[in-house]
Amino acid sequence: MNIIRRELKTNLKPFAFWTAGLFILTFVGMTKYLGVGAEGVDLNAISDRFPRVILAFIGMADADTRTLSGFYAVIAYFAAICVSLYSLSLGFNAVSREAADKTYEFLFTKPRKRRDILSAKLGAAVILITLFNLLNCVFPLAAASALGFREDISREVLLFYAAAYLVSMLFFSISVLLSVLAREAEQGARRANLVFVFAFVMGVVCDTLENPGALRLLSPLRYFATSELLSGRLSPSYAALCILLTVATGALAIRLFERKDLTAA
Amino acid sequence: MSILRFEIRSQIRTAAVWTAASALIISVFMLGVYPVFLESYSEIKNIIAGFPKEFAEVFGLEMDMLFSFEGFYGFGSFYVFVFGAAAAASLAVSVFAREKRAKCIDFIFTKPISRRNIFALKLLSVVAVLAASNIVYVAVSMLIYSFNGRSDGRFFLAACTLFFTQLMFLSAGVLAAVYMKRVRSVSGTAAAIAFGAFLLSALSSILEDVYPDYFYAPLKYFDPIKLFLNGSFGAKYVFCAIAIIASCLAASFFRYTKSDAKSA
Repeated sequence: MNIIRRELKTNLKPFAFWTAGLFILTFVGMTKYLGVGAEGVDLNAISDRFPRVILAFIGMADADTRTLSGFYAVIAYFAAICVSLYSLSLGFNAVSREAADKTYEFLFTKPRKRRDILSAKLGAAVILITLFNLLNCVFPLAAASALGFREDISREVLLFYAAAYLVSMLFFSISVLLSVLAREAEQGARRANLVFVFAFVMGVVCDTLENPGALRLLSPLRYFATSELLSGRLSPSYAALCILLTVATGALAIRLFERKDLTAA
Repeated sequence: MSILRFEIRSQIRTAAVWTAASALIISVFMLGVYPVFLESYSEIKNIIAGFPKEFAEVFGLEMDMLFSFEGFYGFGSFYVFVFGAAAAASLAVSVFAREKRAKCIDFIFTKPISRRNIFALKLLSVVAVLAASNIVYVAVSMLIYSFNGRSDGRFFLAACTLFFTQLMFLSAGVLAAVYMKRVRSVSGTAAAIAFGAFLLSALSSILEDVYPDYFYAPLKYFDPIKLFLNGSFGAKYVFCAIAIIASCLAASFFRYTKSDAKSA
């Protein structure tokens, strides 16, 4: 319990920072919703004509920004990026904070198994990820009601929230595994960030192609395609894949951590 | 001199990767995406023609800009900026927090060289690496530009915007490295700085209707599109950028030369 409490406490400040970021993103984003052209000008008619690759870059492929739900889908895309980045940082911090601080002897000579220590740290991180994702569900709903939009988007918010939660947990496990495998603390963080950049680029590629096929397996950010979520469907097979990969990488990371050569670097 | 050599050598490989990546991004934008983008222009022109007259005139000009080679270069530049901001910050953090991270500040501070010189040499090394990286970037940009058979003298300046933007984030990185009590992860710190700047830019594109100034969004200070539209970035933003760089570096210099050398 001590470990969980301590972890939560040290992570409080970054949590506040990320929450502020998510808040700005969601609230400010929602105020930008125009609805169907004011003054007889339909700007969406223009974005409809933009080639897919441009829309993919700004997260607007497959989203009809004339409707509030479609507009929200664009914000949800950026929110998913934000949630995933936060999860990545929690992942490598949980594994390598003490190694980076060169204080690992203090923690790992305590009469607790390594596995238990890491599990407690990961547990604390999962709590934070869950909280952060809940905010990702609360903010858009609050923004929609505060701005007085009449259209109901609670179903979309719930679906995008669930998708972002699953994906961020996957990124979290990947980041944990990479940090366990890395020799130096910095290496783990760098590789985790690289995996994310790769996933982002693959996401843009997937959006550019209308039928990405197997490529979609390589881009967790697009496991739950915008068009599917907007039609009210959370792909069960991809959800299963996501959970499976998360549990498998997490379990593997904990096993490998027991045999990791802890060095202060 | 050995500090300079050491720091440059330690950064050169990472910098080469960052440089190749930013050159690749802008090439993909200009050689891969722009031609596709241009194809859709005639249809969009038709739509704009259907808009109310005053609106169509103003908006049409904006669209003309976006669809011109220069304008699209500006659009693509923004993505390079976000990426370059992270690169510059990570360069600065890794060089300036090296001893702090390795807990060996006493090692470097007991050498027969003043702290000012250490600071100056470290700064020189990161600026040199950044400049070298940008020479490649500008060369690639100019090459693509000349392929398109266009000639606008301002394009050279537009290609240099990455360097100006990166200088700001370099200074911010130095500030972070010197003032943070612990620097656990270089890439983590750099990613946070870049992501924060990205959010501020997003904020500014939304607030621009109510509040046209964007002093809080450094990624937009050197906007190539502004340069092509107005002929300048706007003196106040250039001044702001200089102020950011000067104050970050001055504050860091003060702290670096005066602080206690804690090794723990």
